[in-house]
Amino acid sequence: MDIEVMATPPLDDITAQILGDQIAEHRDFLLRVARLQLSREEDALDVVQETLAGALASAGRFSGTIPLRAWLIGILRHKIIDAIRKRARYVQLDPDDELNPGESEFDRHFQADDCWRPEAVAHGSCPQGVAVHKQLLGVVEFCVAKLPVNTGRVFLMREFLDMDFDEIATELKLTPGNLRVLLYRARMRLRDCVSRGWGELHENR
Amino acid sequence: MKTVDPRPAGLSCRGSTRLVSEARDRPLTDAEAQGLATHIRDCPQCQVASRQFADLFALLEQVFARGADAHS
Repeated sequence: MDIEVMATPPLDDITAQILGDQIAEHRDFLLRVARLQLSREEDALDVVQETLAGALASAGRFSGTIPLRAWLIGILRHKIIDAIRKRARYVQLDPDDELNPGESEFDRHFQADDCWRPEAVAHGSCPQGVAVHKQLLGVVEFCVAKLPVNTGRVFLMREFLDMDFDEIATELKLTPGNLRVLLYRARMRLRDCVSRGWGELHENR
Repeated sequence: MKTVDPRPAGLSCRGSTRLVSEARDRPLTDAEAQGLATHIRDCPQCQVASRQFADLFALLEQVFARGADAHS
């Protein structure tokens, strides 16, 4: 009986301290993600603060079956969605950023008959292996951060926050056609950027 | 919803990249999925590109820790 009780001890001070330190280590990453999503710095700081506070308050529920970062991002995701829904009027597209719904920037990838130019897909596929894995994740993070502001924001609403396509269109007052093109551009740009990055990783091995 | 997009019988590479993107946001129709699969089967460049997109999407899920197997 005693053993069963001991199997689920309350979070003691030392454990809480360790977990608190570990949680704080992820703060920069969480802030980078929040900044990509929320236009105002104070909103980004707020949601990260709420995320860290929420995580510490419910640290006893962190089972360790998923990585700590995944758990924190799950909390952050909800905080950002709340912020977007609550402060919808603040989540506006930046009028200074590109909103032209065309896709002519990709013309250089395709030939006159809309077939790929071979050089556009020259970098092959993603290098495999544990050694490059962390670098690959860094490349992806870098490329997401390099997206134009509006494109990045829209892309993350869809791919990170998992908001419904129609909800995003409504929230941002975009036509479905414009939203479709913005998402297409984000994914095309990311493929360009990331495949160039792993091309370099291949060369450096 | 608008009516079905009258895409040409033979999908172009550019058209297939649009479908790869749209498949992230909505289920493709049977005709679209079929057209895409056929095009990719016959087009070496699109085989590379669709592999790159798949790798990209898998990495994104890890960066944003979408799955329980995400990195720590």
